[in-house]
Amino acid sequence: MSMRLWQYEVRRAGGAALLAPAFAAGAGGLVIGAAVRSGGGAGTVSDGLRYILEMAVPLAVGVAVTTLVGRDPVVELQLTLPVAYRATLLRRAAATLAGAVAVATAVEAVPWLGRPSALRSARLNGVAAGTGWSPHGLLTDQLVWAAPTLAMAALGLLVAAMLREPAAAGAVVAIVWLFQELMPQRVPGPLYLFASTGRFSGDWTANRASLTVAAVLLVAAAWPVLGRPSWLLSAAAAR
Amino acid sequence: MTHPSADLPEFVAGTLPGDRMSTVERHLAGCARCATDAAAWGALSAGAEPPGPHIVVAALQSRPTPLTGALPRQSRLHGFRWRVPLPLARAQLRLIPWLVWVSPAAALVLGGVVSRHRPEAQSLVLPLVLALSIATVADQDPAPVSDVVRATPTSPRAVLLCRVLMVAVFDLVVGLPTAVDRGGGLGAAAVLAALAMLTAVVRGAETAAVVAVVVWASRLAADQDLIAPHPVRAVVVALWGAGPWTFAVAFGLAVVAVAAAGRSEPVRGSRATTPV
Amino acid sequence: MMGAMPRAAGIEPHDSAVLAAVAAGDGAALGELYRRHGRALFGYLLRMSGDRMVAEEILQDTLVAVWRGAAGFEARASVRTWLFGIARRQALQRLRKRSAPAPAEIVDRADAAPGPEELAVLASGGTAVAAAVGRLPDHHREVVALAMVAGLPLAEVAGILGISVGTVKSRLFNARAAVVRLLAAEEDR
Repeated sequence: MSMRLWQYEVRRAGGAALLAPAFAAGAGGLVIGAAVRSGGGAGTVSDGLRYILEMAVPLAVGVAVTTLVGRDPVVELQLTLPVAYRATLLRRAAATLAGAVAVATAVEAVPWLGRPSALRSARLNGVAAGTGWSPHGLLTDQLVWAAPTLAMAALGLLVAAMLREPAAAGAVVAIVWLFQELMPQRVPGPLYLFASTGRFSGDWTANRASLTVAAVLLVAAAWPVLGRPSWLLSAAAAR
Repeated sequence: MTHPSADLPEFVAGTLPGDRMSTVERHLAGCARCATDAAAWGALSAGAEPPGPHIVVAALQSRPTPLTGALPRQSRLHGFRWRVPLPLARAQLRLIPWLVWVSPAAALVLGGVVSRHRPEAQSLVLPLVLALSIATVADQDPAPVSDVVRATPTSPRAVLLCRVLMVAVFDLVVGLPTAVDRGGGLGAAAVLAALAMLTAVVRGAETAAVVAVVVWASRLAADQDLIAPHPVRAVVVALWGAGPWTFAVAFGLAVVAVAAAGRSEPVRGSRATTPV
Repeated sequence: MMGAMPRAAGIEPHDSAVLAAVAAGDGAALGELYRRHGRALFGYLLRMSGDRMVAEEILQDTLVAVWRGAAGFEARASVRTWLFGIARRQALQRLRKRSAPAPAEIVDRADAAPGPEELAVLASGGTAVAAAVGRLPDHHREVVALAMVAGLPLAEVAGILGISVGTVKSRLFNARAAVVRLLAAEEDR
């Protein structure tokens, strides 16, 4: 797998997919800025950063992944290539996830770069207010955003593969996210996306682990559908 | 028995007068020799598919005025018609993918069910669903038919308005009855839908979907108790509530989107396999 | 667009009304004329020229000539006869510039009816027949193209070519015999 191939697939993934996490983080940053302006303290910033990482980035990545399916206008050309279309799609999804990783790293670096003392003292691993989450090691803390991001990306991939329409799949992903936000009591504990920011009383590590496992299972469910390029690409003909 | 061999060429060409035609037909039913003869004439009459109407256009363009000196009335190929005729709506109904109807309906039904427990749910779901459906239909480059659609004389702005109106009316009819705080839901829906339409026209459906979801989610975040009462919240409420400013902003965005619809070439670099 | 033509409810306007609209400068009326007669015209021109591209060019020249000269239609004959007359002039103009086709061994004389084998060859149709027709001399090719391919009544064919109906018929039968002889000659090779 050469660099040129990755560069090409990154370009084919499209600006919408790659920049969606950055866009979401930017919008979240605006909201935090407004909160700080109106007199929020250090707690506001650290809470806000965690909100961005756990709520905004996974949603953006989930919707971004749904836009990857059905982007190729030249169906016949894709089907004649020796590379399976599934590999192409997964490569583009990996590029999207790489974008998410970059954004998450940048968000976590914000407290260390901020000039005002309020920002500098607010680290991501600060005291969490009222959520029961407490900081673990540096790598484990990445699961704050990594687990829901993987889960939403896998969900987006599966839904997009089955529906083949980016807007409909995006709607499904967003509805799932909204459902978890509005009715957390109806969501099974291991699958709760917002364990670090919402009201969650179970085992945090187990929740993150089960989210990752769920991501793997969703990708496995999407595997056979992704292996049928004629189904995936026939959305263009079905329109 | 006299064989009507002299009449056979006209019979095969279809130019025989009616009474003689029926006579020959009856004869051919019984006479194998004349039937073969007729088949032989038929072999001579094979035609071919004529060229399409483009040849008329080419002829008209090579000689713009007839010798009488009268100016020809060319059809207004790119005029903007204010009326949205019924045949256009029927034709667009065939083109809009079925998911655009089913998926929002399912989401809105689910939202209606959830809003029994959390009353504000539907007024949160409706703007998103409306914006995403509009993002799908407002796309100016839906492969693979965009080139064919561009060649028709119907203005792309009329097509856009027709599609957006149909989808918007459908979603509102399904979702509005269960949306508590209907004013707030409608205002947010208008702004988000107009923003989605503008982004879809300018950049495509996928970008519009991402933008719509992110903006919608940040509106949710702005509403959370995370942000204590503060001046920004007032702005947010003004923009997302149902006040006159909201609808003015939405209307302005929609006008820009419609104006932009007819202007650009459909070929966009992001869809080509090599940068255009 | 069709405002110049009086249209009774449900009845198609007559060809002469459409031609009058063309003379008045209505481009869409020219399209309507083409819709009605294009197939027959093209079939005739294709059989005359033997080449699809050349036939399309002649057809376009015909349409230009119709567009130019619609006002000159005097209603002495039907519109279709007039259209075919224009097409014929354009075709002869264009085809005269080509080298004449290799003369086949044709004798312009009434012949006995061909036997069953020759009839079967004819009935199989296909490009062999078209190629054979293309090798006929002009006057035979024309009657076949006008009467059989374009499907014009023999009286109209006679009007277009300026000959009598009897001559049209005899040329038609001679043409068919000639095609049969050509096809048989091909098979013998």
